[in-house]
Amino acid sequence: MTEVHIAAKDLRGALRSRYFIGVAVLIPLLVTSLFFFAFGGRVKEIGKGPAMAPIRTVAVNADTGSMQLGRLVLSALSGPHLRGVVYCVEVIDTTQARLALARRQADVAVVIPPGFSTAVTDSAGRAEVMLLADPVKTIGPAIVQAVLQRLLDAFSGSKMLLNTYSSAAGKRGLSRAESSRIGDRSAPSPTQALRGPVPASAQLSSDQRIIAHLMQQYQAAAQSGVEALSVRSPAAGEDLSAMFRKMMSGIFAGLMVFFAFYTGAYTALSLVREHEDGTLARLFTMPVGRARILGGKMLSVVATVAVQAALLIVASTFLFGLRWGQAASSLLALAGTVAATSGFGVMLASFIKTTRQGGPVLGGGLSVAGMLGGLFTQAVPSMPAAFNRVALCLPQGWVMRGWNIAISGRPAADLLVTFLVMFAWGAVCFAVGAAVFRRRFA
Amino acid sequence: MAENAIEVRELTKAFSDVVAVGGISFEVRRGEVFSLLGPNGAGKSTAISIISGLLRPDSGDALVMGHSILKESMAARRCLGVVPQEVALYSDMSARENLVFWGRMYGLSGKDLEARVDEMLAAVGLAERQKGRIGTFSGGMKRRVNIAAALLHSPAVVIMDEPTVGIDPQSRRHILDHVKELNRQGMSVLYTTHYMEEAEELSNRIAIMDKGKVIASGTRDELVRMVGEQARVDLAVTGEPDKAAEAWRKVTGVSRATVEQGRVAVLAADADAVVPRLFESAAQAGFHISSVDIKEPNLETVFLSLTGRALRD
Repeated sequence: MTEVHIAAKDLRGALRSRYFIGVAVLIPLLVTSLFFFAFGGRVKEIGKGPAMAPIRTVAVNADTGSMQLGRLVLSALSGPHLRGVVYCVEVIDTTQARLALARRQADVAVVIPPGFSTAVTDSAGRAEVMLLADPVKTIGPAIVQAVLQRLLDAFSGSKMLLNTYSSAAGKRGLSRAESSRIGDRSAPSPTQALRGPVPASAQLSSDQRIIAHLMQQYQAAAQSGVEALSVRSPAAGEDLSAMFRKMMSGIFAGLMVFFAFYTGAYTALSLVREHEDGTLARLFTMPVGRARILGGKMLSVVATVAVQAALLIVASTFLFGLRWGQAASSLLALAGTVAATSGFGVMLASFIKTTRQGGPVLGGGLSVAGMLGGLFTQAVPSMPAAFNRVALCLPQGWVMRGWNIAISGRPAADLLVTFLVMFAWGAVCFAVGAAVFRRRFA
Repeated sequence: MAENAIEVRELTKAFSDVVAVGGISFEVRRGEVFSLLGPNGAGKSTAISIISGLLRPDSGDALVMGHSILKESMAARRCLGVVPQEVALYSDMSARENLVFWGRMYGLSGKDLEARVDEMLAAVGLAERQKGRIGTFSGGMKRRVNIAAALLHSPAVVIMDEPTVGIDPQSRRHILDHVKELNRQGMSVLYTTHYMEEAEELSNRIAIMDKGKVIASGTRDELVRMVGEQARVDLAVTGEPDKAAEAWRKVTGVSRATVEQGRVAVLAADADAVVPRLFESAAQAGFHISSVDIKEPNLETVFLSLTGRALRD
């Protein structure tokens, strides 16, 4: 029980210490908060994506032709597939659109020029859609521009297709009017796209009817164009929030592991602190063996790191909605973390003679080891293989690897080897540190 | 049952080439206050550290209530309460939390522990401040908790290593009275100090240490008799005290003359007869005596006589 009393005393001291709470718990959470908000807001509920504000778009449709292709363009921006991403409101003229931008009431303005439909459907015509954007905004205007570009490319493609087809038909002696009727038969490709209903307007030329039809086809498939931009509605495809959480979990795990190593060493340093304060000498006058006293101090390191890691995992789960994988995997990773960080901390602290040396040695040594161990590069998707190899030469690298496996949702069995390596690192470091401490104090 | 509370036999301890304790022997009898008196660096704390199990001696042994510190160290420690020279408490914990922790280290638990903590807090006059953090306490209050922590398990022997260093007179008085009270209750006390007055006030017997050796031991009166009951005359002079001391060593009746903190300390068996001769000698040598202070023989005189130095040196 002596060991437990010593560990409990140290743990209570740590939990009362503003320094410990600040460095070991609050800083990792604060740093993660900064990342979290920088990357798009809080995620509190499963299935809810990152809360990106809709792109406020004002549109001016000056296209007056009977085909209403301008309307088609605007309907693509306000269609269901971009709901929540683009919020489009039509205004009367360009002046109003500019005013909305100037007043920061809109992020983007889209102006469809007069005669847009005619220009688009005329093989020699030229249409120019104007895009105005708030210069401060970057992502929103780029998305709208990409959507428009996709539409206009489709228009151009349609015209090219029609011209090519007409040219080929002419060579075979078919008039343009005859070729336009091909769509009414079940002709094989390349006329496949010409099948289906065409706008009812009888005044439309054959070319216009074909292009209008192509546009309708395009509109139906507009979602695919939007998907090409990688802007997905929260409910569609892969869950963005899950990806975001996974990334944040990786970043947070890196921070947690770094600070767990720091806590391990800082807590182990309490032996040196107690030596300086005279309490260790007093402990040695008690009717308790020195090995048990040192054992109690080691136990306090393990307990403090375990409490810190558990606090951080719980806090990050509730505050940021981070996910730590399967329970068994997370527990295994946590156990490995506690073993490795405690052992490494005891070893590092055993080489420190005075608490004054502690700051630079712990701060410098653990920062370098953390960098080499890959704790700060979790958000970097493709680190060089050599870097990853170096990381695995340090316990930090193995602990991080353990958390990456857990976060990826893999079962505990996949983590077993990594856990054993983490544990071995901890055991070896612990043995070295305990031997040094025993030689010094026992 | 052991006759002596502590029995020290030929203890030796050296650090590199420096002999801190050079074969000392003494015993602390049951129920007595025994003081180790000596200047800083005399080897008192090293001796205490060996007896309390902090340091292993190079040779020799010590018995605490009959238990060898080398062969039965746990049994010896159970009989001991050690009050370290520096305050050894956790400053981020309250007085009560500290005592509870140290009590547990002594093997106390449950209601016994709580009761002993209450008793000790009352004994050192800190019951009302028991929830205060040690870090907020004055030096004297810390010293009192420091002592209380060593007495929780009602030890047969208490070792106190200069417990009054650097504290205010009120706290010092409180500690000295507490030591006397402990002794009245039958506790044996090994007390180290470099304050002669404390040793004189508290001790049944005293050992004087210097340079790692016990140079004399006995009761206060026995020690004083050892140096022939010489009085000490402190004189302030105008001019160089070293020259005055040199001149006065030749004066009839002066057994020793040394310079301490700018004054000349003269030992003489008959102070009344010697003082006029000192004035005469001063006049002949060309300097003047500005003040004279005659002290009856005491431990200071004994130390001066035995070592040629003052306890404060």
